[in-house]
Amino acid sequence: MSDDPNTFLPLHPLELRILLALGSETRHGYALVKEVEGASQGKAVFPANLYRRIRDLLRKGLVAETAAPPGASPERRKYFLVTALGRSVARAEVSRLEALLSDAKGSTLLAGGEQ
Amino acid sequence: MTGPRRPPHLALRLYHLALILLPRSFRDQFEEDMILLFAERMAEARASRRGRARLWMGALADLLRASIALRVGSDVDLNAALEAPRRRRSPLGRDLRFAFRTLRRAPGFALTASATLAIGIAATTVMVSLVRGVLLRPLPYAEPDDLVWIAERAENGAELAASYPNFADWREQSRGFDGLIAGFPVFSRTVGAANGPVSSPTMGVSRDFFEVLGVLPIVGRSLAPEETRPGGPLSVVVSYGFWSRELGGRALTGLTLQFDDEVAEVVGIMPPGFEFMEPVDVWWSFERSPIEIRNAHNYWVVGRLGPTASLSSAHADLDGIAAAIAEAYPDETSSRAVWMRSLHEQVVGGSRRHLTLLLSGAVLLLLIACSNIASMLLVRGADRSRELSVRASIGARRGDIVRQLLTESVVLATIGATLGILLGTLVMRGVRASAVGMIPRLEAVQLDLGVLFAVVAISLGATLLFGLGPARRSSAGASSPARGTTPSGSESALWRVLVAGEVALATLLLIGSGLLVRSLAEIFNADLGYDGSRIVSVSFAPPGSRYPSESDRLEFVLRAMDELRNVPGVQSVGLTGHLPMQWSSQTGPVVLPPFGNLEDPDEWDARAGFRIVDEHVFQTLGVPLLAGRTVEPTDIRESPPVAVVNAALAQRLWPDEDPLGQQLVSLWDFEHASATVVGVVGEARHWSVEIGGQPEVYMSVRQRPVHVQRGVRVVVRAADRPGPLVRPIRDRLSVLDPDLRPTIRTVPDAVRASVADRRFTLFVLLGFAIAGLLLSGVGVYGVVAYTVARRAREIGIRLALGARPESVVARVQRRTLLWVGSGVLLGSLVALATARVVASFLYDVTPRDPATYAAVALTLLGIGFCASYVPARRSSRIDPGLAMRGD
Repeated sequence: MSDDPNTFLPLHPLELRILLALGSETRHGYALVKEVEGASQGKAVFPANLYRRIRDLLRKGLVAETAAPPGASPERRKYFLVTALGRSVARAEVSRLEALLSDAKGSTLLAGGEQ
Repeated sequence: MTGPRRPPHLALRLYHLALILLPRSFRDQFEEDMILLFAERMAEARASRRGRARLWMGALADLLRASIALRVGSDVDLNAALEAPRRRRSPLGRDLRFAFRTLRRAPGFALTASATLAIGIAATTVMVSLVRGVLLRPLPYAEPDDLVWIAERAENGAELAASYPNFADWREQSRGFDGLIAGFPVFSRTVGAANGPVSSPTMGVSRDFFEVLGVLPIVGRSLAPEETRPGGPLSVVVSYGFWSRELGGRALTGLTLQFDDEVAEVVGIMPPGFEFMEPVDVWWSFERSPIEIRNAHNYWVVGRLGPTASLSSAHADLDGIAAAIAEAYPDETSSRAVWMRSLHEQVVGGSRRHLTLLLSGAVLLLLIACSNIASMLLVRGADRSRELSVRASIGARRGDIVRQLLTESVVLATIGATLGILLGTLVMRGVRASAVGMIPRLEAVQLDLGVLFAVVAISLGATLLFGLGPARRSSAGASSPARGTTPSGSESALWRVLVAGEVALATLLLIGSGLLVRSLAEIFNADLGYDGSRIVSVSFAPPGSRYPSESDRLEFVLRAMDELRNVPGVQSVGLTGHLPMQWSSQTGPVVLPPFGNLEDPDEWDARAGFRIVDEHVFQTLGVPLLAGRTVEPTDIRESPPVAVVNAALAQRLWPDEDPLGQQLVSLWDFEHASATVVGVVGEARHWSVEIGGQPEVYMSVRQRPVHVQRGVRVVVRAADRPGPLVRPIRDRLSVLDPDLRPTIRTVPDAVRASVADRRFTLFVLLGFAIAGLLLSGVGVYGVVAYTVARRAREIGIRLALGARPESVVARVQRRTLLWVGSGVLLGSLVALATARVVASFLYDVTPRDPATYAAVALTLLGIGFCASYVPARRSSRIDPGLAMRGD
């Protein structure tokens, strides 16, 4: 598998959200959903979609499964953390989006408005 | 638990099921987490119905999308993959959109059809789930199929509970059992707990009781061998409910409770829901002081068959032992054999008939719903045949039309099924809340998913089958003008059969419920032999610690009764050994002179209820004195024993003689003394409203105070309504002795409880009947509307030729009533033929009751008349010109 973050771009928006949510701490599915929904103004995230993206991220090596943190509820759940590669890919994706955004801001399409 | 409230179990099971859409490997990896996540979302959405509906819609759409995406593979451009079919406008999507649009244009049809399906699905699923859950589910013990119920079998075949010495011999001598246990039937004892003493249902059990059932305490241990020996320490096992309710959920170490006059150590807590025969709070060992009398039949016995034994071999083994016991103790035994059956049969046998009856009601309703859907789809097809012919004539292929109609049926059935599942869940919840206690093991019953799918599949099948009808017709006659044709022979035969069949089914359902309604009315009007409407019954046990001797207890009871006489609103107060309307096991043999061996069943002349009474009770209950006198305060311990009998017993024992002055012995009188009959009273129905003619013997409480020991029942007649007296009576008794904790209830309540299970059956059947009535009304209306539409041209011609509109209306209605009538006739004949089935549920009503049959016939004909009125009127207003011009 390539280690060059740019080969993973572009990321699906939900994948990026998941990476960002995992940036601060280890989380399980429900906590991820809460975090992602909080950050995206409450657009609902449903289980199958979430776990499909998580599976893709696992396959690409951007996140990894981990043991439950101490003090977690006793239900057997999968917990995830973001890998080093995941961090650099997220960073690369954000720079890509920033570049895109600044290009867009300079574009005559937006500057000129309706003609 | 700190998490959000748990969502209903059913929702999770459904979601779990829906996960089948996803590929296997994905499910293996994430299934558990997805369900947990869904559960949490569900718990969040619980507050609002709309929230839940949105969640379901979203979750299902999510599953569908993911299922496609996961199969297409995540490396391809998913958005493109999802977009592609949308761009191509798949025929399925087009058909779906078209189906929804069509149904929206005919909301009346869509609503009725899906409501019909929903009602049929819900009723059938709930009932079948109940039957499966109650009758077919294994008992909640380990290896429940190995457990058998054992009782003594008297010479005349009667079933007797086992006596302790016999049980002990069985346990000792039998081979083939892995264990034999006994329970001493439930009775209330005064148990002192954290919140003060309460009267709690308790059960005495033999050693190994919990081990043989295979259910052990979740906390602590079961009773140890030394605790189940004569003279051993008193230890008890308590129910989970009792532990949390009365013991404050405290730790077991050093936990004790007051148990009548003793202090018991609490050694174990049973898991929630554990129950043997009846709900009980405390289990204690009766083997510390068993009743060592060979013909005192007190114990329930259950055995666990060993690996090599069968029911019949174990039965033969015990029969042999019982015969040997009878040889060895000829004077002390009343049985020479045993009854043995599976424990499951013993526990649920009584409810079987009720549930079977309800099940038949459910099946009838499902059939009505299906035939209703069929006729509605035919009507709809007729309405649409014009549209379909137009579509055919502008080039739609037959396949297209069939697919379109199929899609519509599927959409309709899906809506109906969804509504049905929701309705079923609600109804199930209602049934559970209202019928717990009337049907055993109801708490554990869930909506059965297997049943649900079967029922949904049946209704889907019916919808698809009949939904295709119009396709056949429209493609067969694509070029013929659809409106204004006369129905073909085979078609009108089909709808006639449908109408008649539907009405016949409804007739059956209505006759069944009608008979039960009448029967219940008879029960409520039954002559109890006394006026119970103003009676309050009070039962209590004088605490043994404060009233140690027989005479202390009697004195306390008499004093309590005097106190109650002073309560404002009380007219009179009497005492009886057993409350009206409570099943009592105190029925025993009565023997007439010469008094030989009283224990020999051949000597027994009758069986009669035995009650101790005081001089006021007959007057208080309003039971008439027919001859002689009742017991009197002068009938005391030292005076010659006297007895009062009721008319039923007098008639049985001395049909041609004067009962006054006769001698008898009731074996329930522990002294077996010969008593002189001094009076005859009328019959009071003590047992249940439905059972009359029970013989009874009454003896004076002053003469036999020993019976006060286990508690007395005081009856209080109110000057007015009995309900408001409950509180003052309780207050007065608690002033007398704060530890008394009496049970107080009014006889009207007791009567209602005694017919509660019948009422439950009745309400469900009544619900079915009303649903059936509605559905068949809709069905008849639909079919008549259909034929009128199909015959518009013919009717138009008649009107043009000068027929009067009224005669057209009459003609349409006559025909309708003819078919409704033949349905009623058919249904009535089937009902007559199967009258035997309901006969056992009826009280004072014959299963061929003409009034019920007539009422049902009139109701259905009336419904047929009303349902055909609107279409018939419409037919008379057909514009002849328009009708004849056709297309």
